[in-house]
Amino acid sequence: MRRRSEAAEKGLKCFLAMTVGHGQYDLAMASPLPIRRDHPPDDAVVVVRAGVMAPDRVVDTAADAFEDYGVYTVSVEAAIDVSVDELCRSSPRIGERYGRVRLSSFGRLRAAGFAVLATFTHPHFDVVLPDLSEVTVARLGRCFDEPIPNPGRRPRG
Amino acid sequence: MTDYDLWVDFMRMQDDGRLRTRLRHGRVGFVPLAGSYVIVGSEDADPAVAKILSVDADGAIKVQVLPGRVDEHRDRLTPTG
Repeated sequence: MRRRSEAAEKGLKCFLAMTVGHGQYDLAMASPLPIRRDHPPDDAVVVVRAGVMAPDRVVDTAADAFEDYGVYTVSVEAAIDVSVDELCRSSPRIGERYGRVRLSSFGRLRAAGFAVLATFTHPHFDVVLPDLSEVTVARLGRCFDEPIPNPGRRPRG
Repeated sequence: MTDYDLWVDFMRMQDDGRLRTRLRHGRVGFVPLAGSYVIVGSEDADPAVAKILSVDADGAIKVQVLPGRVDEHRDRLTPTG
């Protein structure tokens, strides 16, 4: 008798789980989240989120992501091979737009249990939230330092 | 809401300026019309002018954020709602 490979066995179980679950879940297809085939950055790499990360707005943006892609995520950028100043200055998302930013690192986010995915175009990443509870949003907030002036923004007179 | 029609998270913007948001993030009375220009922003960021590319039945709104300040595109804005 032929034995199924371990991978085939896992695939079969996955298929069965999806089949069994048909009656319990919303199967409306979300758009696929565009994930890059990047190697995971080192723990020491700095992560930047522009703005002050008010909890209500974290929920808003993560809920929007869920509606678009079926997963709660919060957008960040990573300072890979560039300084934080250069990242903020060159980013079309941050640039001159934001007055303040908050800094974290891949290590801090991972240690707090958050997966970080390389999504869309470099240096954009998405932090994955398991839910939108106050506890989870607060845990995400604790991964970041207090807001600092956006180093990519020129002084305004 | 403050000085913008539609709240957006600029951190979710694509490199080409495209961005998705939701009708529920609009100011009271805001009526999105594809092809029109609106002011988008958030509490933490300078507002910007964006062109509404599409409005879906489920409330999803796709916009194209224009580079530069609002004043640079003031002529594109028309009074709404």
